[in-house]
Amino acid sequence: MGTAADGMPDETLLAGLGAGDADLALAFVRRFQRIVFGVAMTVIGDPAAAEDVAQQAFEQAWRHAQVYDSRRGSVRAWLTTIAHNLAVDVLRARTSAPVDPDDLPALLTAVTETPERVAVANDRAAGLRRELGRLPAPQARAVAMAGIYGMTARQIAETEDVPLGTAKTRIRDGMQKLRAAYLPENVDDE
Amino acid sequence: MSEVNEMSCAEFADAAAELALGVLTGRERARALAHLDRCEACRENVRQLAVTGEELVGLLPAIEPPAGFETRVMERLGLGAPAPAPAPARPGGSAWRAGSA
Repeated sequence: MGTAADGMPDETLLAGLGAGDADLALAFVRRFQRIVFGVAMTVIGDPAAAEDVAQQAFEQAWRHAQVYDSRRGSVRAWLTTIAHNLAVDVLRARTSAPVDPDDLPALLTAVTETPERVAVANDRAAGLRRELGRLPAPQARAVAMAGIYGMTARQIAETEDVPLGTAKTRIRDGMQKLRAAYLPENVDDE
Repeated sequence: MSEVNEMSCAEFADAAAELALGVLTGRERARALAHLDRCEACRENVRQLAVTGEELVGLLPAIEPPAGFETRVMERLGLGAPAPAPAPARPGGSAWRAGSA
Protein backbone atom coordinates (compact mmCIF):
# COMPACT_ATOMS: atom_id res chain seq x y z
CA MET A 1 0.00 0.00 0.00
CA GLY A 2 1.58 3.31 -1.07
CA THR A 3 1.43 6.04 1.53
CA ALA A 4 2.65 9.61 1.92
CA ALA A 5 5.54 8.24 3.99
CA ASP A 6 7.00 6.57 0.90
CA GLY A 7 8.14 9.92 -0.46
CA MET A 8 9.66 11.19 2.76
CA PRO A 9 13.42 11.59 3.33
CA ASP A 10 15.27 8.81 5.14
CA GLU A 11 15.92 11.12 8.11
CA THR A 12 12.19 11.79 8.55
CA LEU A 13 11.35 8.11 8.57
CA LEU A 14 14.14 7.40 11.06
CA ALA A 15 12.87 10.17 13.36
CA GLY A 16 9.39 8.67 13.06
CA LEU A 17 10.72 5.24 13.93
CA GLY A 18 12.44 6.67 17.00
CA ALA A 19 9.24 8.40 18.05
CA GLY A 20 7.25 5.18 17.71
CA ASP A 21 5.10 6.38 14.80
CA ALA A 22 3.81 3.10 13.35
CA ASP A 23 3.26 4.41 9.80
CA LEU A 24 6.68 6.01 9.49
CA ALA A 25 8.34 3.05 11.19
CA LEU A 26 6.74 0.65 8.72
CA ALA A 27 7.83 2.83 5.81
CA PHE A 28 11.37 2.84 7.24
CA VAL A 29 11.44 -0.94 7.55
CA ARG A 30 10.07 -1.36 4.02
CA ARG A 31 12.61 1.03 2.57
CA PHE A 32 15.64 -0.62 4.17
CA GLN A 33 14.77 -4.25 4.82
CA ARG A 34 16.36 -5.59 1.63
CA ILE A 35 19.60 -3.77 2.35
CA VAL A 36 19.73 -4.80 6.01
CA PHE A 37 18.84 -8.41 5.29
CA GLY A 38 21.30 -8.47 2.38
CA VAL A 39 24.18 -7.44 4.63
CA ALA A 40 23.22 -9.94 7.33
CA MET A 41 22.62 -12.78 4.87
CA THR A 42 25.83 -12.19 2.93
CA VAL A 43 27.95 -12.12 6.07
CA ILE A 44 26.26 -14.96 7.97
CA GLY A 45 24.98 -17.15 5.14
CA ASP A 46 22.13 -18.63 7.16
CA PRO A 47 18.63 -17.20 6.59
CA ALA A 48 17.31 -17.75 10.12
CA ALA A 49 20.34 -16.18 11.83
CA ALA A 50 20.37 -13.41 9.22
CA GLU A 51 16.73 -12.59 9.89
CA ASP A 52 17.43 -12.37 13.61
CA VAL A 53 20.34 -10.01 12.99
CA ALA A 54 18.27 -7.91 10.58
CA GLN A 55 15.50 -7.61 13.19
CA GLN A 56 18.05 -6.64 15.84
CA ALA A 57 19.42 -3.98 13.48
CA PHE A 58 15.99 -2.36 13.17
CA GLU A 59 15.54 -2.60 16.91
CA GLN A 60 18.85 -0.80 17.48
CA ALA A 61 17.90 1.86 14.93
CA TRP A 62 14.66 2.34 16.83
CA ARG A 63 16.45 2.63 20.19
CA HIS A 64 19.24 4.87 18.96
CA ALA A 65 17.44 6.99 16.36
CA GLN A 66 18.16 10.16 18.38
CA VAL A 67 21.90 9.43 18.27
CA TYR A 68 21.98 9.42 14.48
CA ASP A 69 23.98 12.41 13.19
CA SER A 70 23.48 13.29 9.52
CA ARG A 71 26.81 15.12 9.43
CA ARG A 72 28.59 11.82 9.91
CA GLY A 73 26.95 9.92 7.08
CA SER A 74 23.69 8.83 5.50
CA VAL A 75 20.93 6.96 7.31
CA ARG A 76 21.59 4.11 4.93
CA ALA A 77 25.29 3.92 5.84
CA TRP A 78 24.46 4.19 9.55
CA LEU A 79 21.94 1.38 9.42
CA THR A 80 24.19 -0.76 7.22
CA THR A 81 27.01 -0.39 9.74
CA ILE A 82 24.70 -1.42 12.60
CA ALA A 83 23.63 -4.53 10.68
CA HIS A 84 27.20 -5.34 9.70
CA ASN A 85 28.52 -5.07 13.26
CA LEU A 86 25.77 -7.35 14.53
CA ALA A 87 26.39 -9.87 11.76
CA VAL A 88 30.15 -9.95 12.42
CA ASP A 89 29.45 -10.51 16.13
CA VAL A 90 27.37 -13.58 15.24
CA LEU A 91 30.11 -14.86 12.96
CA ARG A 92 32.76 -14.41 15.65
CA ALA A 93 30.69 -16.30 18.21
CA ARG A 94 30.84 -19.35 15.99
CA THR A 95 33.59 -21.83 16.61
CA SER A 96 33.89 -22.92 13.00
CA ALA A 97 35.92 -21.02 10.42
CA PRO A 98 34.28 -17.62 9.82
CA VAL A 99 34.19 -18.05 6.07
CA ASP A 100 34.59 -20.80 3.54
CA PRO A 101 37.33 -19.57 1.18
CA ASP A 102 35.37 -21.12 -1.67
CA ASP A 103 32.63 -18.53 -1.06
CA LEU A 104 34.94 -15.57 -1.66
CA PRO A 105 34.91 -15.50 -5.46
CA ALA A 106 31.11 -15.32 -5.45
CA LEU A 107 31.16 -12.54 -2.89
CA LEU A 108 33.73 -10.53 -4.82
CA THR A 109 31.74 -10.98 -8.00
CA ALA A 110 28.63 -9.79 -6.19
CA VAL A 111 30.24 -6.61 -4.90
CA THR A 112 32.10 -5.72 -8.07
CA GLU A 113 29.70 -6.62 -10.84
CA THR A 114 26.10 -6.06 -9.86
CA PRO A 115 25.70 -2.30 -9.57
CA GLU A 116 21.92 -2.34 -9.90
CA ARG A 117 21.50 -4.53 -6.85
CA VAL A 118 23.93 -2.94 -4.42
CA ALA A 119 23.02 -1.24 -1.21
CA VAL A 120 24.53 2.09 -2.12
CA ALA A 121 24.08 3.38 -5.62
CA ASN A 122 26.24 6.43 -6.27
CA ASP A 123 29.39 7.47 -8.09
CA ARG A 124 31.58 6.95 -5.08
CA ALA A 125 30.36 3.39 -4.73
CA ALA A 126 30.97 2.87 -8.44
CA GLY A 127 34.56 4.07 -8.07
CA LEU A 128 35.14 1.83 -5.10
CA ARG A 129 33.64 -1.16 -6.87
CA ARG A 130 35.85 -0.54 -9.89
CA GLU A 131 38.97 -0.27 -7.74
CA LEU A 132 38.07 -3.43 -5.84
CA GLY A 133 37.82 -5.23 -9.18
CA ARG A 134 41.30 -3.99 -10.08
CA LEU A 135 43.02 -5.13 -6.89
CA PRO A 136 45.32 -8.13 -7.14
CA ALA A 137 43.19 -11.14 -6.16
CA PRO A 138 45.01 -11.85 -2.86
CA GLN A 139 44.47 -8.23 -1.74
CA ALA A 140 40.81 -8.25 -2.77
CA ARG A 141 40.30 -11.46 -0.83
CA ALA A 142 42.09 -10.10 2.24
CA VAL A 143 40.06 -6.88 2.13
CA ALA A 144 36.81 -8.86 1.82
CA MET A 145 37.71 -11.24 4.64
CA ALA A 146 38.64 -8.40 7.00
CA GLY A 147 36.15 -5.76 5.86
CA ILE A 148 33.10 -7.94 5.18
CA TYR A 149 33.58 -10.96 7.44
CA GLY A 150 35.51 -9.20 10.21
CA MET A 151 38.35 -11.72 10.12
CA THR A 152 41.64 -10.87 11.83
CA ALA A 153 44.95 -10.92 9.96
CA ARG A 154 45.80 -14.13 11.81
CA GLN A 155 42.59 -15.83 10.65
CA ILE A 156 43.23 -14.64 7.10
CA ALA A 157 46.80 -15.95 7.23
CA GLU A 158 45.52 -19.37 8.34
CA THR A 159 42.75 -19.44 5.75
CA GLU A 160 45.08 -18.42 2.93
CA ASP A 161 48.02 -20.44 4.26
CA VAL A 162 50.41 -17.47 4.17
CA PRO A 163 52.60 -15.86 6.88
CA LEU A 164 50.90 -13.40 9.22
CA GLY A 165 53.00 -10.53 7.85
CA THR A 166 51.78 -11.27 4.34
CA ALA A 167 48.14 -11.19 5.42
CA LYS A 168 48.66 -7.86 7.19
CA THR A 169 50.37 -6.35 4.17
CA ARG A 170 47.55 -7.47 1.89
CA ILE A 171 44.93 -5.82 4.10
CA ARG A 172 46.99 -2.64 4.38
CA ASP A 173 47.83 -2.32 0.68
CA GLY A 174 44.33 -3.25 -0.49
CA MET A 175 42.62 -0.79 1.82
CA GLN A 176 45.04 2.03 0.95
CA LYS A 177 44.26 1.57 -2.73
CA LEU A 178 40.52 1.56 -2.10
CA ARG A 179 40.80 4.70 -0.02
CA ALA A 180 42.82 6.43 -2.72
CA ALA A 181 40.09 5.60 -5.22
CA TYR A 182 37.40 6.81 -2.86
CA LEU A 183 38.99 10.01 -1.62
CA PRO A 184 39.61 12.25 -4.66
CA GLU A 185 35.87 12.62 -5.22
CA ASN A 186 35.48 13.58 -1.59
CA VAL A 187 36.71 17.08 -2.32
CA ASP A 188 33.82 18.33 -4.44
CA ASP A 189 31.23 16.11 -2.82
CA GLU A 190 29.08 18.53 -0.87
CA MET B 1 57.80 -0.84 34.59
CA SER B 2 54.93 1.34 33.47
CA GLU B 3 56.73 2.47 30.37
CA VAL B 4 54.66 1.92 27.26
CA ASN B 5 56.23 0.53 24.16
CA GLU B 6 55.43 3.44 21.88
CA MET B 7 54.22 2.83 18.38
CA SER B 8 55.69 5.01 15.64
CA CYS B 9 53.61 6.54 12.83
CA ALA B 10 55.21 4.14 10.36
CA GLU B 11 54.39 1.19 12.55
CA PHE B 12 50.89 2.52 13.05
CA ALA B 13 50.38 2.89 9.29
CA ASP B 14 50.94 -0.86 8.93
CA ALA B 15 48.07 -1.57 11.33
CA ALA B 16 45.77 1.36 10.47
CA ALA B 17 43.57 -0.55 8.04
CA GLU B 18 43.06 -3.41 10.50
CA LEU B 19 42.16 -0.94 13.24
CA ALA B 20 39.75 0.91 10.92
CA LEU B 21 38.01 -2.36 10.00
CA GLY B 22 37.73 -3.39 13.64
CA VAL B 23 39.87 -6.51 13.27
CA LEU B 24 42.92 -5.48 15.27
CA THR B 25 43.13 -7.32 18.59
CA GLY B 26 44.92 -7.52 21.89
CA ARG B 27 48.13 -5.73 22.63
CA GLU B 28 48.57 -4.43 19.08
CA ARG B 29 45.15 -2.80 19.26
CA ALA B 30 45.95 -1.23 22.62
CA ARG B 31 49.20 0.20 21.33
CA ALA B 32 47.55 1.53 18.17
CA LEU B 33 44.82 3.23 20.20
CA ALA B 34 47.45 4.78 22.48
CA HIS B 35 49.21 6.16 19.42
CA LEU B 36 45.94 7.56 18.06
CA ASP B 37 45.43 9.49 21.26
CA ARG B 38 48.54 11.47 20.54
CA CYS B 39 48.57 11.73 16.75
CA GLU B 40 46.07 13.85 14.83
CA ALA B 41 47.43 12.85 11.41
CA CYS B 42 47.04 9.15 12.10
CA ARG B 43 43.51 9.75 13.45
CA GLU B 44 42.52 11.28 10.12
CA ASN B 45 44.14 8.38 8.29
CA VAL B 46 42.08 5.87 10.27
CA ARG B 47 38.90 7.89 9.85
CA GLN B 48 39.29 7.80 6.08
CA LEU B 49 40.00 4.08 6.10
CA ALA B 50 36.96 3.49 8.30
CA VAL B 51 34.71 5.41 5.90
CA THR B 52 36.17 3.37 3.05
CA GLY B 53 35.35 0.22 5.00
CA GLU B 54 31.77 1.40 5.45
CA GLU B 55 31.49 2.06 1.74
CA LEU B 56 32.76 -1.45 1.12
CA VAL B 57 29.98 -2.91 3.24
CA GLY B 58 27.59 -0.67 1.30
CA LEU B 59 28.48 -2.62 -1.85
CA LEU B 60 26.90 -5.80 -0.54
CA PRO B 61 23.88 -6.92 -2.54
CA ALA B 62 20.38 -6.22 -1.29
CA ILE B 63 18.40 -9.42 -0.67
CA GLU B 64 14.66 -9.85 -0.22
CA PRO B 65 14.01 -10.97 3.39
CA PRO B 66 11.74 -13.94 4.16
CA ALA B 67 7.99 -13.37 3.88
CA GLY B 68 6.47 -11.63 6.87
CA PHE B 69 9.73 -9.99 7.89
CA GLU B 70 8.34 -6.48 8.21
CA THR B 71 5.42 -7.71 10.32
CA ARG B 72 7.79 -9.50 12.69
CA VAL B 73 9.98 -6.41 13.00
CA MET B 74 6.98 -4.20 13.79
CA GLU B 75 5.79 -6.68 16.41
CA ARG B 76 9.25 -6.75 17.94
CA LEU B 77 9.13 -2.96 18.26
CA GLY B 78 5.67 -3.09 19.79
CA LEU B 79 4.33 -1.21 16.78
CA GLY B 80 2.48 -4.06 15.16
CA ALA B 81 -0.81 -3.15 13.55
CA PRO B 82 -3.91 -4.80 15.01
CA ALA B 83 -2.86 -7.92 13.23
CA PRO B 84 -4.74 -9.12 10.17
CA ALA B 85 -4.88 -12.53 11.77
CA PRO B 86 -4.57 -15.50 9.44
CA ALA B 87 -8.16 -16.42 10.16
CA PRO B 88 -9.91 -18.68 7.69
CA ALA B 89 -11.81 -16.76 5.03
CA ARG B 90 -15.51 -16.51 5.69
CA PRO B 91 -17.42 -17.12 2.50
CA GLY B 92 -20.13 -14.55 2.03
CA GLY B 93 -18.90 -12.48 4.94
CA SER B 94 -17.34 -9.73 2.91
CA ALA B 95 -20.35 -7.53 2.27
CA TRP B 96 -18.55 -4.64 3.95
CA ARG B 97 -16.06 -4.58 1.14
CA ALA B 98 -18.59 -3.89 -1.55
CA GLY B 99 -18.45 -0.16 -1.07
CA SER B 100 -14.69 0.08 -1.37
CA ALA B 101 -14.37 -1.61 -4.74
